[in-house]
Amino acid sequence: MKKFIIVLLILAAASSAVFADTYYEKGDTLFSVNAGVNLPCFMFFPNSTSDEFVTGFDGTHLSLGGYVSLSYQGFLSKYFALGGQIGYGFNYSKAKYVYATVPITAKVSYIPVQNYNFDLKINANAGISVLRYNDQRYLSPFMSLTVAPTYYFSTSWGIGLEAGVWSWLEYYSKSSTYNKWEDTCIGMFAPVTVCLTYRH
Amino acid sequence: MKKSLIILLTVALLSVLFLSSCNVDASDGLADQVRNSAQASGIRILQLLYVDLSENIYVRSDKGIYEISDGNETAKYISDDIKAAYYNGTYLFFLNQDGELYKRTLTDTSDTRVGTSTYTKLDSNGYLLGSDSHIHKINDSSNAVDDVNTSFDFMDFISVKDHVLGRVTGASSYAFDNSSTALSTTVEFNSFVYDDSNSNIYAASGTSVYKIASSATSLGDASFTLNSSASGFAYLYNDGTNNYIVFKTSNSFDYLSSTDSYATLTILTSNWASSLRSVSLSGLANIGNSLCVSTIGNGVWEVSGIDDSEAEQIFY
Repeated sequence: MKKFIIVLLILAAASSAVFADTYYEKGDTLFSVNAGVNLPCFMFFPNSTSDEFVTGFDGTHLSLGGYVSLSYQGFLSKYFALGGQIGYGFNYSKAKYVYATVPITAKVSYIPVQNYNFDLKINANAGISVLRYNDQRYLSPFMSLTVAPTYYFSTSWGIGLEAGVWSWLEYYSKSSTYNKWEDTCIGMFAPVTVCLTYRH
Repeated sequence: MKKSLIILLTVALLSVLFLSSCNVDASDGLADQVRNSAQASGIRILQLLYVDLSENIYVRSDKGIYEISDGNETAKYISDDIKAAYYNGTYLFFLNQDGELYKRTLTDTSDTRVGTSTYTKLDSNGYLLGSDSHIHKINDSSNAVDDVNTSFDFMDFISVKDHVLGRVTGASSYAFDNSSTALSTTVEFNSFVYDDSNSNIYAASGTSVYKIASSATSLGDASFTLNSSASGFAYLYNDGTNNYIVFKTSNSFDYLSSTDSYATLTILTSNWASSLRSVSLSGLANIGNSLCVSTIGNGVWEVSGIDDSEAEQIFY
């Protein structure tokens, strides 16, 4: 995954020199629908006495999950678009319960490569996420970084692939009755989705 | 533009503060529960009935009675007409949906009605609440039903092996075993353990544990404070050397130890307790010198030591 992102960033940098022309203008808009999978990367428990760092399916006890999202953005300049995104991610735990993630975020995209048929977006999201498991909820800060190359088969419609990572934080303070402080956790997942984009 | 941005940020901040109230619901760390989640079991275990000397485990599921041996389950009596059951190693007693008591061995092909009375409750220790509002018990020698307490009318009871604490109807009081003098109290007990060595009852109510002499008639101050609210499960566990009075709470396993004459309450949230603190229990028992923990949806676990062991899922 890391290599994939690095390759895409290098491609983006190289391509921006080749394709100096821009396609977008201030005031243009993007509407995207994503659907795909998410992979649990790791959970880090900095205050735990055992198993502080668990990785992958075996460590996190989570299955390969799904992820869908909707986003809407407007261009602030030729290269930057700002908007919002709402998503829903889910994975099954070993106990067959759903671990759900509902991020609601502000989304900023940098589009270094852009022309009639192709663009490459580097997306950053920041906001909150409602985490839900076993009938319990937690509101967590949420952020993600993804890369999305998109091929446009018409003036307005394009299809692409979006991949990257997202991260959340479950923070607990020390309690006199129950030391939930040990349950504080930083988690990272990797979404890989197909992206349908409408630009106008 | 500047005014709109300030309004937008204020609304966003207030929304986050409002939504943060969701975190109160997270009684346990969600990610911690996930990483400790266990394999779901093929059968839902509603009652842990009996563990024999060969460490075969007998349970009641929503489909009937099963024997669990070496990680595999064997159906012993499939029926959807079992409301509650008790197994003493020889006979399986069960209440049907009409409250009638039947018995059979696990190899019988038919059931035998026990008496003509009907009952509203049968528990894993063989205690019954009759439709006459009295507490009864299955006699393991005669395989008949004996009266335990007919001095009061009862609305419910909780029990441990050989002892029962019944809630008297219409009064804030509990009667212990066959006592004709009720213990006056305004609290409702979730679970209790009886210590044979000193004849004390350790009864949990909410987050409080009361140490009560079995002959007491009034409730003193709480002797211990649990980590969180007590569940309906408490157990006197023996590890081969020492006794432990174990209380399952909503977030932990808390215990008293005979090593210091039950003077100190220890709260366990790590190791095996971490794996099992968020599961739904259906029973606690000794399996050899280990603690056997059965769960409704996540099979059966074995814990070989009270403090520092990891739980081993021996059936799922």
